[in-house]
Amino acid sequence: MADLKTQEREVLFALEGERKPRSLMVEHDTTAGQLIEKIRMMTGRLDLEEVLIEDDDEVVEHHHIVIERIVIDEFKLVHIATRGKITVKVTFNGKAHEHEFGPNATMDKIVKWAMKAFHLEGDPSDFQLKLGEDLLPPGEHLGQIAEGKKTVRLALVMKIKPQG
Amino acid sequence: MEQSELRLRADLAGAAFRLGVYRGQWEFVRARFPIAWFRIPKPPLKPGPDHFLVRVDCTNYPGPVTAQLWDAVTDQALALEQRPYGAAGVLPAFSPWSTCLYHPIDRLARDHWPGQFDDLAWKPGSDIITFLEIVHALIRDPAYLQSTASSASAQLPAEPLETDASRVA
Repeated sequence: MADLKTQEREVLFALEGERKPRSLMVEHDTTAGQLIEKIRMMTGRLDLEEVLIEDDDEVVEHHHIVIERIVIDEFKLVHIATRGKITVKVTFNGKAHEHEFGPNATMDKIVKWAMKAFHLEGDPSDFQLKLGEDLLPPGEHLGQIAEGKKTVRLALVMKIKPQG
Repeated sequence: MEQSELRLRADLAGAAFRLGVYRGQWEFVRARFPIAWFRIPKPPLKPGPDHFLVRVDCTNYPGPVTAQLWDAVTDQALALEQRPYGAAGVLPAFSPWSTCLYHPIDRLARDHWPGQFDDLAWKPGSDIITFLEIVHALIRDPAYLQSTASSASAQLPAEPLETDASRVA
């Protein structure tokens, strides 16, 4: 990701309300506040206010350098979001549980929460979340699938393995 | 270069594909359209080759694609006994029933389940990333116990992805 001559780095990021991730080259010392400004200019979206790191509970403060917050050992996607959490209602076998997550929460994190909430045992990768008929990959962020809304209903399902 | 190839190369150059590379889910190996090869790692801490080589036929992309686990040494589909195994035998998605994956996302397999598994099938908007996400999950199946394939089976020489259409032969 690094360009040693210019000290530019590629930042891959998810935008709340958009399904596909984007990328941007930034200076290695770009702060969270500067990153938001760049992305506001790029997208015209003035509602974007927060930089979050995948599955972290804390918002990155605007004076912090973004590159320093990206974990290198295990890649974490940056999430650029509007203010506020997203209320997730998950249904399973006719029951429902609700919880607030940041838009940077992965489906994997929500599956693990849901398994606890519904007292389910097993490997989290045997379960999957659905939005309507759409099966959601474990690494996708809540803000990517919520279509800009602050409440979303998901269904927890067992992963189907088609047989003959 | 035809539209299918342009679209595939654009998707392989996009942020969504690179995200999977950074996450260690897959690696691009090379493309000789309509065929593209990718490496997908075995499940961590389980016996097997470092990676599996996946040969994807992208004819009529972004329409549905079809794929097989491939052996770079023999340049053929990976032998049955070297595919990912679980306690009950080869994992169903990699069974030798035909020259494709045994999963509704695969173009050749789709007709095997008429009217079933629509949510697992290729849909409008699906792309090579959708497909690789599924193949990655099939290899990372918790039921995976081992594979006897050698790491050499995935060592097809890599070629950089050429995204400039005018420079592709």
